[in-house]
Amino acid sequence: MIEIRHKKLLSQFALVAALSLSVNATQAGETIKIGGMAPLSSPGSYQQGPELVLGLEWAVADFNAAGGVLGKQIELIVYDTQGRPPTGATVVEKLITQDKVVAAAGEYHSSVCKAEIEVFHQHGIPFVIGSCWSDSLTKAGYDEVFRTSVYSSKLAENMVAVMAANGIKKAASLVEDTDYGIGIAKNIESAIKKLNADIDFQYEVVEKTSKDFVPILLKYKTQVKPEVLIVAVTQPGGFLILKQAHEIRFAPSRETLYLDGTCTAQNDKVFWEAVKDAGKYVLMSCPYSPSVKLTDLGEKIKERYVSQFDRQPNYLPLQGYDAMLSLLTAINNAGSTDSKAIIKALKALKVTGTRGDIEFSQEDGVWHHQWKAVPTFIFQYTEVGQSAGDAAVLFPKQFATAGIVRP
Amino acid sequence: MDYYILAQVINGVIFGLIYALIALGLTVVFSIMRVVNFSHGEFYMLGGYALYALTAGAVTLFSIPLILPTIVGLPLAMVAVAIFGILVERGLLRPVYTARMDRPEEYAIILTFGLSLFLQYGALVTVGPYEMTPGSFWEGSKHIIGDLYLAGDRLFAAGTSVFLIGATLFFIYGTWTGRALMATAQNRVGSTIVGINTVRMNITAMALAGLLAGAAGALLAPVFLVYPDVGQIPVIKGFVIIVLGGMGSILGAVIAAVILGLVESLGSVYFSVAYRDVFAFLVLIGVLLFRPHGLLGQKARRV
Repeated sequence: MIEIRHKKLLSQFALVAALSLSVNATQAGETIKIGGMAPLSSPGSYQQGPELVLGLEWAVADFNAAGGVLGKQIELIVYDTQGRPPTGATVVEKLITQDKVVAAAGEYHSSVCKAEIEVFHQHGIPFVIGSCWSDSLTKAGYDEVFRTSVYSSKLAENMVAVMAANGIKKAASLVEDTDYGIGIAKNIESAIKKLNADIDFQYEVVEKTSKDFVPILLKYKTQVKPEVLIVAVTQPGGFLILKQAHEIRFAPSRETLYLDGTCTAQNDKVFWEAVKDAGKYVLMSCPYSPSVKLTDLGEKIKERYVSQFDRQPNYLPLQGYDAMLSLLTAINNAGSTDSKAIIKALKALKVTGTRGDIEFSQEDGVWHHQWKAVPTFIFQYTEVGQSAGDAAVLFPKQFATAGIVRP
Repeated sequence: MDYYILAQVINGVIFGLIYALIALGLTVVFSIMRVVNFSHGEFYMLGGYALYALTAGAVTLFSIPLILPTIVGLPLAMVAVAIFGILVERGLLRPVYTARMDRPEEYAIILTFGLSLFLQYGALVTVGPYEMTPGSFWEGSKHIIGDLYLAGDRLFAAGTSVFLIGATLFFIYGTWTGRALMATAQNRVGSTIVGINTVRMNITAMALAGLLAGAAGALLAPVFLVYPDVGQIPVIKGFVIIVLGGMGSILGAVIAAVILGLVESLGSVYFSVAYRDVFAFLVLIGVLLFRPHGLLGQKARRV
């Protein structure tokens, strides 16, 4: 029996269920309550939130099907944080003080995560970050906060490594006005210094809700003339920048490559319908490539996703699943729902997730409670309408299938 | 002026014309009905979805997928949103001016705000969260000047905006119905006394607003995509424009929209693109300091 309670979930995967805000409410007396947070409505990234929640739900469902945790069923309580930091802080407070959750997992926006970790820290409740990439979250050094998703500085180092390996000397970037976007830009600057790469880099912060990016793209095209344009703006802004860069004949072009640092191609069909031929030759930095084999668990999740939705999964259900898997395994290992015991178990955790063997680093800084070996990829579309699984993998080297192709 | 600046100016004017189309419907409803329609952005959204439904083959009619040419879908989408506007007027807004309520303006604000949320969440649940793109009106990118290429769809939207703005101005100032609309806007009681059916004028205003918002949404769908909250930012810009142009001034709204497009385009490159949306409010504050009634607004006394 799946013991999942949704308080506010508008998910494309369960349209009917989404309308009733408290469906499937469990009345069972003996459950372990776990919190989940994600953006499920505007102004949050409501395209991504439901995918992340799906991973959380599936992990809970699998544990419950196997008898639950500590002999009890898991009750997942998911709230919509709307991409707003104050809402995130409020729902976490509610989860802890009213719903009495013993731990939580999820969230997509770094700025919201930033507000949420303060509340978790204040109450001493463990939280496994679902998909917030900002370095600052683990750098805060909170005992309660763990992360199974990728992090900005790792992505930035990968991008700089690819640029350096391809002799790129000048790069420009457009990043969204969030902790995530600005963090990526600053991490690229740091990575250039760290890797001693000879790259002239500049960036501009854009409002992710803007619709017209032509003025700044025209400035880059005529005044800056970078060899690569790196974009860290979530969709739909990310889609619009790519469309408009292509329309003004700036990038992707022979002179200027286009590197999408946000992995907006999370859904092949949506991506290609939105950007059409602008997507050809785009380089995509993603935490997952369908062409690379997952763990046995990951392959099972992938099959389940394909059979349910008739398309390849993106990284979000996998990250959501891994976050919840880590949390529930830690509770099992702790043999208790006591916060301190769960945190201790998370620190000692070793579990095979969907994308590899998860364990949390005990180092300071960005690696504090971070899954350091979390996989990331850079691949390139070389055909219009190509699936991510057929795109050429450029990075990391052990999975690389081709070099950069220019128009 | 080199090509670079000229290119930015041209892009700014084109975007201003697009803004004007979005703001016109808001202005018409406000000036005639004295209703600030917070759901205007969702009318815009419906225009985009209507075009998608009519042209992308996503909807079937008698088991036949609808794949109309976009140029045919455009007027149909406009009419669909106009009909929706009439239904909103008939079903929700009519009490604002017919029922004896203490605070009709507040009622209208709350009602249109609620309608906005209802439509947005309704789209999220029924259509889904993902971006959609109907077919093009004018395929490919076109060379304008120097290094400036723009999407054919963007040029088509700007050109059609000019036509629709002209047609709206002609309708308002050059026809009996338009003059009756203006009379109703100026003095509802006086208009009734001289035989104008003010209820019919309200229906006309909402239909016109629906036509214009539907046109904007459909024209811009291939350029800016369609998704549930696509109308949020444009409608905020629309509010800035109608205040800047002078509340109720249709010509003022057009001028203000072009100014806004220019300021945003040039401000983005000469100051910072990060403050693009701030420029609109800076201009608004600056103008209101010297012209509290907006660019072409007039001091008015309600009767």
